[in-house]
Amino acid sequence: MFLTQIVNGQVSELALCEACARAKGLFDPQSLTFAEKFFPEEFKQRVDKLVRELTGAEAPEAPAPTMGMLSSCPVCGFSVEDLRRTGHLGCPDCYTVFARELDPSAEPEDEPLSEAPAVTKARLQKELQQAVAREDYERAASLRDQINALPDSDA
Amino acid sequence: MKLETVLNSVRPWAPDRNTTDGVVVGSIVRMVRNLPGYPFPGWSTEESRAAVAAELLPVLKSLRGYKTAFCAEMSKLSYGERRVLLTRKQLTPGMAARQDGCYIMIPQRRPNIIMVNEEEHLVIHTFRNGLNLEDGVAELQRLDDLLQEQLTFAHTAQHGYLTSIPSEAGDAMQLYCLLHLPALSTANMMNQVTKALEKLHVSISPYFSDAQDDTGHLFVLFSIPGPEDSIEEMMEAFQEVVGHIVLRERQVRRKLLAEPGLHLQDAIARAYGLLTNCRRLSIKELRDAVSLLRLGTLLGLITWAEDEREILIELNQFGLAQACITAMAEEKCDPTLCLRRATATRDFLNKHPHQFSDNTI
Repeated sequence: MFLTQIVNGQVSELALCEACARAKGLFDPQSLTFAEKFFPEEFKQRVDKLVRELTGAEAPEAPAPTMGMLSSCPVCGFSVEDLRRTGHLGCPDCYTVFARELDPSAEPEDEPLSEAPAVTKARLQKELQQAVAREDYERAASLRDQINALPDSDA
Repeated sequence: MKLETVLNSVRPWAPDRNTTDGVVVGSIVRMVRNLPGYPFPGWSTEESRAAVAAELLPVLKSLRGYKTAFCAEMSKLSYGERRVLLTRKQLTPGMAARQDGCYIMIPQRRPNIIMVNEEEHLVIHTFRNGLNLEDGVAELQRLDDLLQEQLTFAHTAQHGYLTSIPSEAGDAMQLYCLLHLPALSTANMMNQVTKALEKLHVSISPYFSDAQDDTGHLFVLFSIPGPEDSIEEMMEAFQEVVGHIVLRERQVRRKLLAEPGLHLQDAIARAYGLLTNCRRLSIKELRDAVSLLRLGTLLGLITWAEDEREILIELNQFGLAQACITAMAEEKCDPTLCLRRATATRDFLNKHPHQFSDNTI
């Protein structure tokens, strides 16, 4: 089995026997197109890991998540699936969070997550207390997750 | 202030006194604004809606002319009252379904309505007679400036004012216009008009939301904002579309009048006969007949002792009042409503001296 991977213009080629490929989690070569098509992220991660193991290269540092690249809004919990399904946004901060979804041609903003969003942790904590007081634990759990996702600087 | 006082004092629709063909009955400009840091009402909790209302209402009530305005939480309005406000287009269908934390505000002396936590945090509609969009936009911009002295709205340089629907962000204004199109409706040309408008970022729907068809021949035309459109561009394009529809309506009126079959004259004469002689009258019959009576007045088939423009306003208000009575009565399923409606119609015609003068006979 021959595996060619092109990352940032750099070509790495691997030749594996079928048993090794199977042992490393790469199955029937015929199914690669299928895997790439339906699980591109998962497949890419698996191949990256395999290439690193075989070449001894270190794992690249994961880029810090930036606004515009998240799958859900840390402020209101609105997800990118919600946006695709309804065509609506959850809150004004969603414009920053889903910037790339709203305008795929736009460059991702360099605004890091640590930048305090317009919603404050204090406000969410107040909502959390109210949700607990009325025993709405589902909402309370969602609020807790949103609070945890917010940067500490706002505490 | 009580809702009854508002309903008796505010007349939301009246044709422009400067136009005589009465095709454009009125217009609405809608402006929406959102507060940063709060979820949009469609995605928010009761607490969040209450917090938005607590931030907005004191500022709104501090505005001149709004201190004594009618202001109510939606949960305090009965279904009948909501239906009446819906019929008068003083409430949007989205708002009519809302409850706690959502407020409606109607000042007595200004043709505006304010909704808090509709589909956006703050929605303001302003009504104008005829096609008077510039005046409506100027009024909303003035209000916006006053509000921004005390509030900060969600805004970015890239998107403009932010709204829950991304395509509506920007100036966050929308234009509506009420059109009376009896000739296009009678000639079964409304489907053709609707399809043509779809290509022009404009949509049209029957005025009465309870009607599946075009009863009363009244329609609401509204702009669909594009992401790049400024309010000035939208207004220019919208006025052009309205101009085309008005022209088409006039042409079809002339064409129908000139037809040897006298179908239009016959329809108007039948409507007049129905209204003057009925003993029972359904709301659909009333809407259609009043529409044709209006057309007969404009075409000179019916002459009134009063000023023609004044009588057109009276006819509009009468039709609207009857629609509101029906909306209120639906709750009680009043069996005498058809009888009372017929009596009210005959009384209206007796009260306003007129003459039906058809020179085709």
